[in-house]
Amino acid sequence: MTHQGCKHLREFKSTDGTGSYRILVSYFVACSSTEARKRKAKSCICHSCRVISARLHSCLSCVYFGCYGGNDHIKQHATTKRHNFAVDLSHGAVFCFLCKDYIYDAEFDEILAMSRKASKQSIGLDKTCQPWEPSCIEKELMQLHPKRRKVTEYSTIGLRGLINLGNTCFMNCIVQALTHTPLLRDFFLADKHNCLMLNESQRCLVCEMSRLFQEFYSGVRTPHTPYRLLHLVWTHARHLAGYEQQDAHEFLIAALDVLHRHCKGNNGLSKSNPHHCNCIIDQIFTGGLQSDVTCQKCNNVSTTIDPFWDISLDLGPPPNSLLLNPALYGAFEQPTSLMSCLKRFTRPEHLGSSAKIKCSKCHSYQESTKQLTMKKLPVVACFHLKRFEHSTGYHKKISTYVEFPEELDMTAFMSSSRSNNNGYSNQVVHLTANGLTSQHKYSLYAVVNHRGTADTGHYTCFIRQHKNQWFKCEDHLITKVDLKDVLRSEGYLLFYHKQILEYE
Amino acid sequence: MDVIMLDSSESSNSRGSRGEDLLEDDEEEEIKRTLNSVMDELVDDVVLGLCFETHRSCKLGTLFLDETDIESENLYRIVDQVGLDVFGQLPQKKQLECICPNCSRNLAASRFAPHLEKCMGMGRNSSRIASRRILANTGKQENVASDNDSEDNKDDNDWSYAVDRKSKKSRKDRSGNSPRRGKISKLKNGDGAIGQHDTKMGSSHTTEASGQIFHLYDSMTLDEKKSILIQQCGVISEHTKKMCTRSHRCPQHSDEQRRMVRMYLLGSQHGGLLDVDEVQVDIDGYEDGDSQSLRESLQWEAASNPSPADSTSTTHSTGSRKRKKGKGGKKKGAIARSSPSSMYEFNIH
Repeated sequence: MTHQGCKHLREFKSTDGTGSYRILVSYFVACSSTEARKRKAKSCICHSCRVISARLHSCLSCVYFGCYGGNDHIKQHATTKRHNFAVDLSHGAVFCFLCKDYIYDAEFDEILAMSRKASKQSIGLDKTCQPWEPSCIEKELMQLHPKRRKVTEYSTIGLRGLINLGNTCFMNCIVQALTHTPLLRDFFLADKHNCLMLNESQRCLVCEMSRLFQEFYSGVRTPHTPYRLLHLVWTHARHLAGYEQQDAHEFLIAALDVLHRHCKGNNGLSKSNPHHCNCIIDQIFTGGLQSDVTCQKCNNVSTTIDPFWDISLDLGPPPNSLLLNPALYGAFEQPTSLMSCLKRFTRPEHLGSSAKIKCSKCHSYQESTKQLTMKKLPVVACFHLKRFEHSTGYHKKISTYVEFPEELDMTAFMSSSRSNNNGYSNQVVHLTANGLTSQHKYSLYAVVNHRGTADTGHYTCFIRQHKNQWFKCEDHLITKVDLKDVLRSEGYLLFYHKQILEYE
Repeated sequence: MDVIMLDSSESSNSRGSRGEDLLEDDEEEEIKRTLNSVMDELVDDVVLGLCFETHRSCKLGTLFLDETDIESENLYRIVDQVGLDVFGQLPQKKQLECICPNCSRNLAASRFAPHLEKCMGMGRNSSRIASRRILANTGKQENVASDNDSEDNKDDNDWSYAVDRKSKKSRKDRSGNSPRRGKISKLKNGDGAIGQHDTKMGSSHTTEASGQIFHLYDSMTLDEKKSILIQQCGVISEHTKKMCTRSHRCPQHSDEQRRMVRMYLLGSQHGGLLDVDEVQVDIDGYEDGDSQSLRESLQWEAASNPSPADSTSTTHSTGSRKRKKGKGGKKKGAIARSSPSSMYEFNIH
């Protein structure tokens, strides 16, 4: 049994059918052709008072358009002519003058949905999102079973501890960060993953991620044991296998790589163009890094763009010999904030006399400068603070405090902000002018911290859940924290999510 | 969307034609007004859409369907208290178990990573173990020759009780009385090959060991033992030290073996201690598939199993906690693990 309009409409349908509604909808509510659009533009006007914008309704029995509210011409028409049904011309809803209410009929709804689809296709909007609507059975079931698991401000749904399987805190942290990535969560909870590993979904890491999300949102309060995940990661990324401490950053990259590979499965689509992939991992995490190499002699710029999943930022004091002009670019000593790290990352760098590059314009080996900028920003920007120094013979951890903001504007580091000759210096003005309404704004949603030394230590993770609630995840233990605790932490991996998403 | 676009173009057209009549100074004013009305129209349209949506779901009875009920709302409420996690629980002490996807065995979750490393035969350690084994093998070939088969088991210290016993032995010098010492043993029955070759251990350990296996069952009352032995074959596997759970007519074991076990387990209570060499202990009778049912029927046994990976910590309950603090340190770990690994050499004699 599906929903039916009132008994008056049923009578009307049995005598007159649905033909008139179909025509009205396809020509005036959701136009699917240019002709229909022209017709709508010309004739959508109240036949009595010539008004164009007053909730126009059309009579379902004869050709009459009338306004609703105010002069109520459609109502007058209905009472005088005894035509009891009118269609709202902007949304297609049917009004019954006997019930004095809008009514909803399954058959009419279907016609409307079909027309809307055709209309969207005709103007090139292929991907239409239909909100879910429970069927009658589903509705009854939901009424019978009122228990709900919902992510609300006060609920723990979506939070779950992870058992340490023996030195696996590095994995637990990354899993927490990934499961609380808003866009990734939406993807998996919408069950959008179609496994392409034929007959091998047990070996697919994306399927395992999907199961992991189910575990996180299951409402179970005991910690989850991610042993299958560990097994899969070890089988697919052999360099991470082994019972020892691993670098969380290395694990993140390896995990993204395996996920990315498994998204493609055996699908040949992306093989033709390895740099462009539309899998969910690439959609969320991949950005484009532009590298401009400028010849010092002829100022010719050669540009390359490389994809990236994360940005590794140096923390140590810069090797002075490589500074192009310390006076001009300021004394970049040890960076104390994420902003200064990023400034250092995107400033022009003199490649030095020992690394001459052949200029394509003047055809000779010349000294040159190189500058990195963001060509395309990823939805999730992952910053890796290089706290671990591994030189031959010694391992050192740089534990300096690096300030990082809750909101980050990346405008200044975009390729479009790069001025050809002077590099960075002009961009500061740009930043302040555009700061408030920037398209390139990010907000922090996860921070992975490491405590201990370069050789041994423990990873913990802060994650954001439901707007601005923050939680600390330490393996199986999850506790509530304040934002200021997060911002005061040392920070090893910083995850930022874009605030404004663009349509593709 | 197209509807809206057309609406706007239409209205701007009609106003535009009127706008031409006006003075040029007023033109800007007129444009502003037109834009405002277009904007109003758009907003009205969107608001109306929302109204229809709500009205519709209200009429169809779906409007409040996804509302959380109070019961589950309270159930999932975040707890923000010192000493408790967000779920309002005390930090977990309970050991969770998982099944190894590689070998399908049941094991403690906190020991999964070290187990998997061995199980998949990877990691730095396994190659170190391997090279050590090769070294030892070439050096003492004549000693090992008789016992090559069990070498694999011994190196997998998650499973082999031999390693455990030896870890205890090697640490005996340091920590004199290990509380678990009496419960763990490696059984060597019959052939006595180890006993003869192993000069360090001496043959006495064989007797000691097979005696110890029955200590495992000593904690049971006579009635408990009886009831188990009435139901099942009961022959104790040498490999796992667990009882065979098949029926009395199980083909793996002979009646003689069953008789011996019964004589020992039930008879020893009355003081009649058998010569250990006569106790038949089965080597191959154990199959992986049995582990589950065995575990269920013999819970007490599983609980007393020592954990090789936790050799640095004293008991199970504190194991996970210790690890967190001293946390998987490469350095710490290396020291901790150096004792078991040195035992591999020991093992080989």
